[in-house]
Amino acid sequence: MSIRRAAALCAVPVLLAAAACGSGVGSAAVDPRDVGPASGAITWYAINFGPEGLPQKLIDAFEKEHPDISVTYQAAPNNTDTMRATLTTEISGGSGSIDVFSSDVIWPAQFGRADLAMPLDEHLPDDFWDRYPEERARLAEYQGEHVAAPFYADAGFLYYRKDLLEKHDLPVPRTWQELAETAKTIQDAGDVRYGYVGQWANYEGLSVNWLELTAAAGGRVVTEDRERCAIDSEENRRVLDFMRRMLDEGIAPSASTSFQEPQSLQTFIEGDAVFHRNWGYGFGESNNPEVSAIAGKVGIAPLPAFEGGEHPGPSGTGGWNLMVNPHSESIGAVLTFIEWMTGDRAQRMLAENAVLPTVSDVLNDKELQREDPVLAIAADVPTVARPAVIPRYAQVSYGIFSNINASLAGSTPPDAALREACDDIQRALEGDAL
Amino acid sequence: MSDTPPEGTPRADGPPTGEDEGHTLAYGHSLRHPAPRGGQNRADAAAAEGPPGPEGQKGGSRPDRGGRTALERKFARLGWGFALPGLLVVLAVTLFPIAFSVAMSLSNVDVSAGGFRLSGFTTGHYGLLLGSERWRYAVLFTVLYTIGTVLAELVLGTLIALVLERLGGAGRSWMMALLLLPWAMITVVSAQLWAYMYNGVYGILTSASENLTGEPVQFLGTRFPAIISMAVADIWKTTPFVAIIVLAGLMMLPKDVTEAARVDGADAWTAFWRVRLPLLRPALTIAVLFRILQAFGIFDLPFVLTGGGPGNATESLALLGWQVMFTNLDFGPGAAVAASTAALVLVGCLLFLRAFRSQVGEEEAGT
Repeated sequence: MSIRRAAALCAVPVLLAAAACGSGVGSAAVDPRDVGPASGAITWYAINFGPEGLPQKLIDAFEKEHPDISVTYQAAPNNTDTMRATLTTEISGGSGSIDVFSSDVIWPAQFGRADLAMPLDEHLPDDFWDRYPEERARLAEYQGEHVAAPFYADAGFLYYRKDLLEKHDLPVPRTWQELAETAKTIQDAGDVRYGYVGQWANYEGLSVNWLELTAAAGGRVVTEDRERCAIDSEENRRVLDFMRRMLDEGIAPSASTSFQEPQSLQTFIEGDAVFHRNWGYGFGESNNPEVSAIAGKVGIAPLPAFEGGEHPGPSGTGGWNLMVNPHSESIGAVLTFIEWMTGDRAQRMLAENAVLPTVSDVLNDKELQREDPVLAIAADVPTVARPAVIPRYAQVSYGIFSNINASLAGSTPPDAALREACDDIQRALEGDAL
Repeated sequence: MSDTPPEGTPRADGPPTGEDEGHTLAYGHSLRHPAPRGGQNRADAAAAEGPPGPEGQKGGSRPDRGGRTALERKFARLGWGFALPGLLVVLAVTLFPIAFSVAMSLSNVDVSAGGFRLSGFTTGHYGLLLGSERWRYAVLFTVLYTIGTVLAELVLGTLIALVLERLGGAGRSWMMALLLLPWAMITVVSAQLWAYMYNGVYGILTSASENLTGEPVQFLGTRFPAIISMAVADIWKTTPFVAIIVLAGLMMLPKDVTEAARVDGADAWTAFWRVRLPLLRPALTIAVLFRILQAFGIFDLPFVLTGGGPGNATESLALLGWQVMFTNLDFGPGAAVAASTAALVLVGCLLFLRAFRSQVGEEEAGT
């Protein structure tokens, strides 16, 4: 092989790889338009949720009531970021093959800014939004307009080992400090390896864990007007020190800095931790005897307060919305679909399948709450939403989790970590971050 | 793969000869396939007739200005005609995206339902990159990671190839099949397997490290271990690729040069280091080039294993580009990251080739 040919070989795939993101330009307007008849075939692109087959069950029930509309469920990859990448290329490329899609609770501003979701207010009745708690409806807005309809909810909960607390005659902790002490006592007695597992890896989930803890301690990430960073504060410093102490004392496993939901849940259901923070699905999983070594021994509670704060501590808002592809050819049918999916019937089906509903009536239904402790707690806890109304929230979040994670992993001292996080967030707010 | 040496390996089709006859082997070959100028010894021919280059043309077909006959030119035109549709496809699928990507990195990009709208020229995206510590770190990390893993793979791959060459027979076939397993495995899958082994609580490697040192090593949760762990997973996967290319190179080497070296008194190490290794250069070049390209664009391993963490310790340029493009939806800066990656790896490849070429030149001048 000659050297020149080798050089050519070297050049082509690199440039190819670099350029693979170039894309054609489509043309479609997001302007209000004739939405067309409420009939035809639509495709719903969604990450799987609830027990196996739940999306299809919902579709079947919908089609029975609306025989003129047929819905195809297209499963999205089980990773939020990958799904966002797919949607961005599809929609900005002008494709209308997906009509309606599930969208993460943190996407409205970003998608609204990039015109990747159709504004809904003109097409839905004015009282449509009354079905939701006010705060939740506002999270679907971009610049005062709704670009998404809340579909199902999620929140952070504290899971604990009923049997271990009973054995040591200890109450469910009401503050994080109490949690650490309780855990330590049980660990010292040799009953369990670790005290607490959460999601402290280098990703979005750490931002949620961080927000819950700091909100409980009275800290913020950005100022109320969202103009400046506010993460470098005394309150937040207390939280970071507390997290580091949990690691130092072995209450949280040192592997926590690489734990996302699956790894932390695994540690808990193997019976290796007393306390665990996770989303609503954690209750069903940890009480499922097929996968869990501690089925039947798991209790659920709202998150603790930070010492001196009000109990319970706030839960991070999770969950998914429905968005409409502006290129869809069947907006009429899609709107009917959204109305039904956020209506009483579908929301009840969600609640009966251990998925948290977003609609107030169903969320507050006492009968449903009696059957599902997760729902009962979810209806009452205060919530803290990620500052995702900032279109550049992705960069703000990166500023949070990368610096906090580095500090927890021991590569940056806490002072420097908060300062650097503040710099990163400030740059993100000013549109000056990579 | 069969264990017979590929065609062109001198010894295989030659008659069995004794050690002392090694020198005559190549000569014997040229006797059986006589050179155009008859049975003369090559050295004699060179001495008598001077450089053969221009001589060859004298006896050939009648050349015109460009040294080609009319018929040849006609065929050349016909050739271009046949190649044209293919070239157009290449232009459309390769050059257009490249140009578009570079254009994107140099303009204000609005992503909207109508597609990407490019408006106005700006160098702001590159300014953003250069001013960003995150990008600078990603460049540093990617370059060092590439150098480190490629060097390790080269050394290990060559060692394995040497062993395989000795092995011969069915043993070699089995070993090759075994070796190819990691290479054939999809990286996302093998990365998941490594993630299980590195798992901070249940990973087999974590508990092994705990037995060894008394303290479990946090392979993915702390900075330097995370970088090393990722490199190990990468080296495990791609060393076989290097080994197989080097093995192919080894089997192409004429045996007589080694034998000559041994006769001249070189020990095994000298014969390898001064004779065989220099002859292996073309194979090594190909292996290194391919590996530089792949290592520089590393994405799947950090994506699965560490997500770039802890902090941004294992964030490669490709991962950064992906995040800027598809998490932040910043297409201009994302394109700039991609273009800068391409430029860097191109420069890296050219530097490597240049170093390689100058070394070859030196050696040729020296002999």
